[in-house]
Amino acid sequence: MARIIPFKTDPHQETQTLLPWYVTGRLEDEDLAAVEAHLRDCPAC
Amino acid sequence: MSGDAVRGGRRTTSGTPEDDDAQLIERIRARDMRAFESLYRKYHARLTRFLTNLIRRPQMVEEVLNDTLMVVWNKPESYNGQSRLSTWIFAIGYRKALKALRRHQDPIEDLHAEARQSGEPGPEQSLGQRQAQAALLAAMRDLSPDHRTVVDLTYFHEMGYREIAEIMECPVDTVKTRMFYARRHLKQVLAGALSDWI
Repeated sequence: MARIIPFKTDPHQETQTLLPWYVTGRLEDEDLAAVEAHLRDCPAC
Repeated sequence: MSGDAVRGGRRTTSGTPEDDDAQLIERIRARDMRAFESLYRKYHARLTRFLTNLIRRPQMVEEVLNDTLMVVWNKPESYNGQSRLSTWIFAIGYRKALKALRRHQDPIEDLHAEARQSGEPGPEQSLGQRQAQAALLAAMRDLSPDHRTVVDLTYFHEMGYREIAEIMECPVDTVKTRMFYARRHLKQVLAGALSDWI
């Protein structure tokens, strides 16, 4: 029954997923741009 | 280029770490024992930290570390140059560690985990950072080896998810998923400000 639900389409969830590598400065350009764009707009993040 | 061999008294060339690694593995392929000794010195501490955190049994760490470095010496031709040398070496270490863990399935009671520091903090780290690392290492005890490896390589070896996927021979999305669940666990275990840090 345990199924992994894909969350790639949700920018908030995707940002949360990528935060560890954002913090350590190891995000690649495309992901970095997406995360930074989301961080600017999302009060929760 | 004259004087390269003595400049600084330590390094024989002035390249990037990747250049240094490329030269080292090239010389190891030519059976240059001194190159292997250099590589051993360069990777010993990093691999020990990685394997200690993954395996948590000192005598097994020693064995896996030696096995890993013997592959580097005996099969340097299996490094294809597509990845960083460190990625290839960590991937060997990871496979050897999983094999060793499978051979010893008995559950471990790590009585000294709280006190032991496998993070080996450098002198540049502040007390606060060391305490945060120690707390994180303790909280990581309950993670599965796969989840612990992702957290360890991300935070303590500052690797990107693509590199980690190569080491663990799994899809990038699997690395991200493992991190997601590992963080959820760690946030529950770590209290207060530290849980924000994760």
